Amino acid sequence: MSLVEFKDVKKYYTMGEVTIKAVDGISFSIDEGSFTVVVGSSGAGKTTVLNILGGMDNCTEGTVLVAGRDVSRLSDKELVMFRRYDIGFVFQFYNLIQNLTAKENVELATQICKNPMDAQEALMSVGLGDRMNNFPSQLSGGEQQRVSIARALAKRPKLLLCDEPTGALDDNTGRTILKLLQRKCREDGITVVLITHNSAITPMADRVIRMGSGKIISDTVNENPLSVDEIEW
Amino acid sequence: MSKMLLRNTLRDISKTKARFISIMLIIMLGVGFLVGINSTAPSMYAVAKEYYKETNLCDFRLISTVGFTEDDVEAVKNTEGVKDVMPSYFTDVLLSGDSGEVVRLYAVPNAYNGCDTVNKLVLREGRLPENPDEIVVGGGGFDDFSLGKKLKFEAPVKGEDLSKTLDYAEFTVVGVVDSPMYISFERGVTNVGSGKISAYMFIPPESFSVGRYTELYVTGEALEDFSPYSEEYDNARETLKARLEATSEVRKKAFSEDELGLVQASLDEAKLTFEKEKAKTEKELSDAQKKIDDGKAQLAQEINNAKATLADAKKQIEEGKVQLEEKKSEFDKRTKLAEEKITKGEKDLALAQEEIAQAKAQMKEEIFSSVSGMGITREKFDYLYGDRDMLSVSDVYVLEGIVKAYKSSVDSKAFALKILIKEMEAVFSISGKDPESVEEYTQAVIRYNELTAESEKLAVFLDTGKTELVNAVKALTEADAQVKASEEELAIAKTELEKGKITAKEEFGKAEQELVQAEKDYTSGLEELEVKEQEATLELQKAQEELDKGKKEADKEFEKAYKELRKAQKELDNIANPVWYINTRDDNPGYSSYADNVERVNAVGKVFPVFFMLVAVLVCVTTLSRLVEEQRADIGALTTLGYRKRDIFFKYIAYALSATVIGSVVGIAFGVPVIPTVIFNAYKILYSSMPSLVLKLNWSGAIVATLVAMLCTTAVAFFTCNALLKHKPATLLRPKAPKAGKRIFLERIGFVWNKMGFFAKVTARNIFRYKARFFMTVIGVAGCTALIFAAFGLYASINDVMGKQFGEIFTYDLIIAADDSAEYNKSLKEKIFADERFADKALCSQIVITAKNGDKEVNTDTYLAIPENIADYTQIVNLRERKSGEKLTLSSDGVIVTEKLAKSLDVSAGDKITVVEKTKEADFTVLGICENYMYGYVFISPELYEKSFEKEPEFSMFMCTAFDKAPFDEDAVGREYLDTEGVLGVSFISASVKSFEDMISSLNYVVLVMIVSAAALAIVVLYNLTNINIAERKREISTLKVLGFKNGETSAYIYRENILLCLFGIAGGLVLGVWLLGYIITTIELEMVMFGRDIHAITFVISALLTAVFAGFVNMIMHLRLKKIDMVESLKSVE
Repeated sequence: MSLVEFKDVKKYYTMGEVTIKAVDGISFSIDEGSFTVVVGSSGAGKTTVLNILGGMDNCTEGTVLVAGRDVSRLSDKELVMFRRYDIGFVFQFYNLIQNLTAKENVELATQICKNPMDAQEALMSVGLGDRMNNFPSQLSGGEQQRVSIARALAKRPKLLLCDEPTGALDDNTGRTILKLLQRKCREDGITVVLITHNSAITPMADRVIRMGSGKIISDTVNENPLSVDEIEW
Repeated sequence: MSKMLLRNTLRDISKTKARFISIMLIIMLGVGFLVGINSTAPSMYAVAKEYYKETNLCDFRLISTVGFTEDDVEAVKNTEGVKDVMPSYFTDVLLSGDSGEVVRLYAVPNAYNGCDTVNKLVLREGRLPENPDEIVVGGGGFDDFSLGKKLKFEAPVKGEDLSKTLDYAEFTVVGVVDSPMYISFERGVTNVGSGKISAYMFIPPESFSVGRYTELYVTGEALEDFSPYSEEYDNARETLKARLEATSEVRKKAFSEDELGLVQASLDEAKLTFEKEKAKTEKELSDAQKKIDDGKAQLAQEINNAKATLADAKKQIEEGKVQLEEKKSEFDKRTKLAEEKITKGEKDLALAQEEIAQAKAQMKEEIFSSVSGMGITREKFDYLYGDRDMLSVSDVYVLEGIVKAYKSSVDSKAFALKILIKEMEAVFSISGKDPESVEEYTQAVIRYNELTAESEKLAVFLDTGKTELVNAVKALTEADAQVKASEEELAIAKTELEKGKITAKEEFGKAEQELVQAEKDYTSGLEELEVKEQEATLELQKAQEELDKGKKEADKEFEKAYKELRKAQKELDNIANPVWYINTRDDNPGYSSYADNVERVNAVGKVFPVFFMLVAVLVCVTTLSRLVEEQRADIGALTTLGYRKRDIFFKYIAYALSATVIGSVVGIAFGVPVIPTVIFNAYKILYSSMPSLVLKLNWSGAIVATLVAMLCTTAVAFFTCNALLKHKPATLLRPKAPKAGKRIFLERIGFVWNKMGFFAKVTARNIFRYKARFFMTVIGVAGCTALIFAAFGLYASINDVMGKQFGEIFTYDLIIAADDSAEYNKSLKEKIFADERFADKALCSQIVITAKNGDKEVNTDTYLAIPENIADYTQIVNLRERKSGEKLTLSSDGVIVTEKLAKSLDVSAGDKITVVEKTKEADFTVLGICENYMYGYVFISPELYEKSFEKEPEFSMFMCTAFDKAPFDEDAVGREYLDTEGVLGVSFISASVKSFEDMISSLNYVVLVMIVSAAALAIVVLYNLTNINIAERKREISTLKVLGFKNGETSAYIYRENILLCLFGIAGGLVLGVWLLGYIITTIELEMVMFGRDIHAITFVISALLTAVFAGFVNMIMHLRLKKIDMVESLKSVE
């Protein structure tokens, strides 16, 4: 059963007299509990897709169904609630709040949720049980990204959206992050959508959607996803 | 600088429009406000200068108690330094009608003898008078006189003739003018009517019928060049005043010599005539009185006589009455006696009659019994009696006859028998038979014996019985006669008594009638007398009344004449010592208060804008340093491209400078016209005759302010860039590491930290994270609060002056100033102290003094107050300590000094002060410091004064409070007392309170300006800082949004800090406000006034609340900004 369904979604930006077609009529679906990678070069429209999917942006045309609910027609207020209860975000630059400790950053998310994980537990599950009271500036990039993932997971979202989570990390650290994400998907059955420009990591996905110039170039289901350790890049 | 760099700078400006504008705005506000306020005083002075010059306002107004002649005018004109002299007339009159308002009439100013017209009028409406009965009224007062209205005047003193001063009593209003002598609504005071001038007006000079000029307007040559109110002007004026005084001495002397003798002679003559007239009239009056008194005596005599006569008559009547009564009673007594006698007689008579009747009946029976059987039968006897009741003697004889006859028959029979017996005896004897045995014989013998016995009996009767009977009859008859006689007598007596009674009654009736008549006569006589007396008394009374009236009239007339003479003498005395009053512009109503007000604005202008400016600069600093920080990458790029440091400096300094210069210029361009105009227009309510504002830019202020602003912003740009440029270009190119999170001190206090909620922790940490912002916000908000606090506090303090001074400390409602001479003081005191319209009254003295303590000296508006009676005085003047409210007691051990004076002299209780009165001086111990807000006073007991200055105080000031319960007609009281001899003036507290209130009503505008600017400050500062805050934390905010924070929650996340900072700011602002208020009050306080020192709770509340409202307003706007933040955009890239 597909958790997410994009039906002919279009997103146009009008900048003066120029209309940029960021997303130009794409349709795909994502199954619950699957690990999907959206891959494409810069400007392919993948972040726009993620933003629309995460309720951060509206689409110009088309329908976006998340768990059977049409997200594309939600009001701003409904979008807030959608983000709050259904979506977890992980960004390239972690977007941790500098003035809060790791635990507090996670708590920032759990404060507003209905049935959150314990912050400590969430951090433990990403392997940061001993760095809980450190400020972001005292953590390495990978650690910060793990805090970010813990923050996203603590909300128990339906969908975990990751925008280039390894983009600012070295390979090894990137690998750990990807492993963590894969583990979360496999073990906890969390639906993960990951955006990257790096095609090398596509083998780990259940589904790979390749984008270019706002359109889907290919949408392949990977019958045998590899574990991160098996991937070479 | 390369073209590219310039373009880059310009583009930066356009890109950071909001920031550029906000720097510009804050500089504009600061500089504009500062320069604007500082230009207000020069502008206001400039208006005054221009106006006075244009209208050629006199520098001096000379008034003489004897008026001026052409010679005087000439002499004044020839005094060195005098430019123009314009002689003129003025007089105070009353406006006809109930109100009795006092109007000061002036002659329309006219050029005189080649001099320029002084005090030129500015026509507001209509035209100047062309005919002698036309008038123009001074504008800007409270009364409204419309054109064409006819005004009728009366002399200010009742009964005096207006024609002595004016040719006409009625004038037609033809125009409304402003005179430079009256710049405000104030009209000054006078010593006639209610004492308060209500309006001033101008009539043509020829309408005055006064002989001499009443005033001279003088302008000085040198004075023209100086700005009025300036020290140079004051100095030059004093010099000229001294010269004018010298001239006045010469002219006064001349006057005394020339004109005085004549007037005194005529006055003496008038006095003589008065005395003569008075004596004559008094004699006439006393003669008349004597006549009346004589008449009265005569009348009394006559009445007495008549009364005596009447009394005699009355007495006689009374006597007659008594006599009559006596007679009556005597008569009654006699009558009674007689009646008694008669009654008794009658009784006796009845008894006698009964006795007689009985005797008669007895006698009848006796007679009958004595004669019965003697030949007299009952029938015969009754027959004999007939109907009589008794027998007469003759009847007895008749009876005798019968008896005799009867005896004879008996005897004859006896004899016949005897013979027979003898015969029988004879026979028997013969016969021998015993006779006795013969019955016939015995019978015969018995018979005979019987007959013999009968005969003997009869013989006895005839012998003695008859006589006895006769005697008895005789006696009875006699008795009967006697009874009859007494019966008759009694009847006579009765008749006589009845007769006597009738006579007596007649007589008494007559006597009574006579008495009644006499009484009637008496009563009518009495009535007549009374009527007569009444008539006579009435006549006399009428005469007396007429006389009294005449006397009163005469007295009044004499009193009036005497008063007139006195007045004339007084006038003459005045003339004998003529006084020239040399009034300066300071004596013009409103003239010096204008300067006071300007100075007040000036003082406010010294404090506020500086403060304002300070905040503005601080805001610029944060904004600019933030800008430079943000452009870190650009700076890095420029350095790597090989631009020199100074190019980079130049770029940012140019940015800062252009914002500052534009801001300053725009600020000055707006502030200089707007602020002085707003303030001046507020003051124009008071100074309505002032022309419109002449803007005078305070150049030095403007330049200094702009330079300071430029210096600050440039320095900020320089130092921030410099700090940045110390880094290697490579470092600069890399994003600045986000400011690391830090534990705050609070976290170490576990029991507090652990109890705080999550958001509370976040807020606490954030507040301390951005220290600069923390301080800026706190300072900005504190500044705003402090400004509002100071504005309201100032307002309340100034309001307190009047409320406390005349509501709590000096509670009198009016002051009656008496002539010093003490001549009338006693009677005046009696009058005032007996006046029921006043509740409390006190008599005191106030003397101008100089108070000293060592080298400290106060001599303006400082008075020595000496109560006549301390208890009375303290009833009205509340001597108390300000802070504790404790009452201070004035004793002879020392003096009580008012607070401000004590502060100026730096003395406290127990210290010594020196009081200098004219030439004498004395030292006193200060007993206490009392609360007081206007002027300085040293309170002293009369005993101590007398001891220290070796003279008795001259009490001449009456303080009175109105009796609450009764309505109090100020005008009536004022007029009444001004008409009372010995009263110099009456002043009401209500008038001073009103004028003060009007004056400070303009302060409302100042307060409003302060509040508006405080609001502007708060809004700009908060907006700016929140703006920076949001810009700096855009990413954080976006993260929150992505995490699913609602708009409200996101705002709350940011605002928690803001609100807390505002609270800190408000708290700090209140503290700062107390200090600022204290500073402002001591700065703008005038020497003679102490503003209220109490800070009302409401001031705290209002300033805190208003600040909160402004902060809330900014937060509301910022909420919209927060809502608009695009999370996608801000999360996309690294900063």
